[in-house]
Amino acid sequence: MADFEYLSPEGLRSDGRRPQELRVLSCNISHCLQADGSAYLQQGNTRVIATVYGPHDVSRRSEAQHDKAFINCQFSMATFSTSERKKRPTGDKSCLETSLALKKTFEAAILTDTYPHSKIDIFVQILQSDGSDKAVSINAITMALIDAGIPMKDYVCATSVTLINDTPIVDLNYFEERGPGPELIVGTLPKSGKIVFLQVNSRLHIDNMEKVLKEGMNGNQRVHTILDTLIKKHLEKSILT
Amino acid sequence: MVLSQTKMDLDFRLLFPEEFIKQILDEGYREDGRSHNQTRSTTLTVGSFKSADGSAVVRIGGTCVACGVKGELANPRAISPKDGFIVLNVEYSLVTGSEKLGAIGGGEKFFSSQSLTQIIQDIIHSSKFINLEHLCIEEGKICWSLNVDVVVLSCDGPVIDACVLAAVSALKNATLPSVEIESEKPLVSMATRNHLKTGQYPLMTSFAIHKKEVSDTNIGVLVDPTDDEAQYCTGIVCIAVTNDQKLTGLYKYGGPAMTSDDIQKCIRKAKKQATILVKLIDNTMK
Repeated sequence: MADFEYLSPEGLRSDGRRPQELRVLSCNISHCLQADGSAYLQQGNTRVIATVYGPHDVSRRSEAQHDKAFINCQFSMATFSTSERKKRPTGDKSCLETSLALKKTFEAAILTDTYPHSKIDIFVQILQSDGSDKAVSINAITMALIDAGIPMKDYVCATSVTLINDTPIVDLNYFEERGPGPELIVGTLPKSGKIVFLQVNSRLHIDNMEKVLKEGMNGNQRVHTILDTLIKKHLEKSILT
Repeated sequence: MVLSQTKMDLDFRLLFPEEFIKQILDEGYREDGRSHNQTRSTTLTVGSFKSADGSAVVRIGGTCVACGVKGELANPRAISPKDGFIVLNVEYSLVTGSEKLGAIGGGEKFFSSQSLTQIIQDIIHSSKFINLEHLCIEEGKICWSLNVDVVVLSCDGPVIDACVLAAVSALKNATLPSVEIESEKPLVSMATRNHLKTGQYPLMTSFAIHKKEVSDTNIGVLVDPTDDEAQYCTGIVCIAVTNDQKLTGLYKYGGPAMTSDDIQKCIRKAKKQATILVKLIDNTMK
């Protein structure tokens, strides 16, 4: 399989999607009653569970900030989530990097100055990984934060994009993520269209950047519409019962 | 009977949770309307994680546990060249907020992840659920090592019951590719996958002891305690029964001294619960 076909001559991807098509996104909000906010989000075969605790008292005095809340974010992956068994669920370098990236993303989106001297804990766990782990985690955390009722500027929506044969491809699965193209992950605040998270792995020609980024932002708009309907449905249901 | 929740009840519950739960338990009621020997409904899903060779998700009330089995090829130990390995590992996911709530996992009062691992590994081996010799591919050379990873996703009551059910179901759900030895090298063919040969399997039921003294009316023992109830209980009794109604493990930690009659009552209940769980597994695995 020297030349795996990422895009068929008809313009379809390996899983039958069109280049700009997202995977099926479903979400179960408030599934965990112990947490202040929780969401289980499934995007294709990538399954993520996110919980939010807080805002509550800081656990160490060094975490207290007089003008804003301290955000603690921890990312982990179940040992059976990947095709090769992971040795440990947390603590390896890629997990630490992702934790930090998520923390910085949500520091930009949460109105942290509403809760000085307090702490917000965000925990994410990947239960099954099939590409776009970071992007799906961001979407799941957004849902959990909304469930917890923590004020934010807007939803944070994220998608991953790659470029194959000059065609931008949105919401990558595992094979596409490991493919030859570059990977760009973009997280935006969809209402204002502002970028809060951007990551490009491997080489991407600067001329192509604009095109790929635009497609990612379009993807985020679609993610936003889906998340927004899910939240509204959930609220309707919880008000009625 | 569900307790009527007036404003005063709710205020009392909020201000004195311990006193509230103690009082209604003493009167023979429980907060969610169950009787003392009534369990919550259990749901089981198998094979939902395709990245694992076998998987299961168990929910008992608000408790949620996921388990994945992954097989690896390994070299057998020189002392037991015919045996494969089952490596069980239980972990409280960060999602439970275990970090926030202290060293012991999210709310669970009685068991740390290490003790859960040890107890479940023991009862899986002692019930002769999987004969380790069936995991052998070639004696002294190569065998399967099954990594059974149990992740606790939320704690609301008997985590240990859910963990045992998840581990057993995931192992029953697991399929391994067939391996042949060709010129000293293992050849794995992914096309043919076989289920493991399994024998009797264990099922666990937990009881919490909430009275300082267990009276002969057995009112002091609660089956399937919720997290809130467990917080105000002093001891726990966990009983593992196999699917053919044999006792394979009994653990009593803390609480007042119990007579053997009380223990017998618990065992009888555990046996009844085991038949319900066997039905659940059979229906799900069909």
